Amino acid sequence: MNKANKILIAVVLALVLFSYWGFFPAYRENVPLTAVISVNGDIVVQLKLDESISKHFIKVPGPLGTSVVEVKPGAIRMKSSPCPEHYCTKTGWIDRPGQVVACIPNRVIIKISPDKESLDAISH
Amino acid sequence: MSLRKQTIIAVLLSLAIILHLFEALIPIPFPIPGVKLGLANIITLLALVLFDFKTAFLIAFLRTMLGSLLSGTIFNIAFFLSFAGAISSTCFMAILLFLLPPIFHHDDRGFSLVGISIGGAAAHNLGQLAMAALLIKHSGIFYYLPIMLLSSIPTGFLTGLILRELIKYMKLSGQLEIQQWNQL
Repeated sequence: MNKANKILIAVVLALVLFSYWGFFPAYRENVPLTAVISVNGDIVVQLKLDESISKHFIKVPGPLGTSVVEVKPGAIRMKSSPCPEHYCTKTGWIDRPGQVVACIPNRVIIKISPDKESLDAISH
Repeated sequence: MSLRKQTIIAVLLSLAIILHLFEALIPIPFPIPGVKLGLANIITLLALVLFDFKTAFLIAFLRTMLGSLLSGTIFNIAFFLSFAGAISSTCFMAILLFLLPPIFHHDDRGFSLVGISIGGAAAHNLGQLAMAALLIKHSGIFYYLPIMLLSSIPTGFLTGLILRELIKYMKLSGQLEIQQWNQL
């Protein structure tokens, strides 16, 4: 292998490292998520799901009664709800931008708002 | 263009199309879509060595058109990706083969076929991703860039080795006098 080829391969490897470390800090840092809780379309609570919050409950009053939302760093869920079907509590924890927990009977919507554009999947 | 050259171009073109189609059948033991061997690149580089940039470009262009027409992917995203990749890799390999060696002064200091093949594979992946970013309009596609570039080293190395052995065989069997081919 002569000098020219070594330089070529070194340039390609340098591009790999450069594109990995230089261009895309998103590989390393976690973008904090923002959760929005709304009742009847009006936003009642908006909070960041980062490491600074501890696991706690938020009581949200709706037309049927009080829904209880549980929050922990990086995720949020409907803990309990006065609705008849409990689809909302069965949804479980949500932890990615764009995900939603909806309780239609009690008009409560929990949404993780997309801070950054993101993809579900890429298909070829 | 002589009849002999036309015939050789037709043979190279059909070889390239077959490799293009054959490649889609090989499963890659790698969980990343888009990483492939680039076997058809062998023919593009062979055409560059045997003839000139214009002929190689023609073969690469017709190969992506006819290859995707036959595999039924013409004018969808995969077609535009492979089209952009083929064009950029042909141009970059021509630069490595014809333009850069004089900078190194001595004939034996230029890029080897394996080196040119690696460069072509890297340019293919870059062109492909640039086209993908243009079509999908989402910067997230560039998460692929490090993986694709890294994969171009082994795949380019492999196709370069195949081409080197192919040219060695063509010389040994007396089918190839490169000077004579260039004058066709």
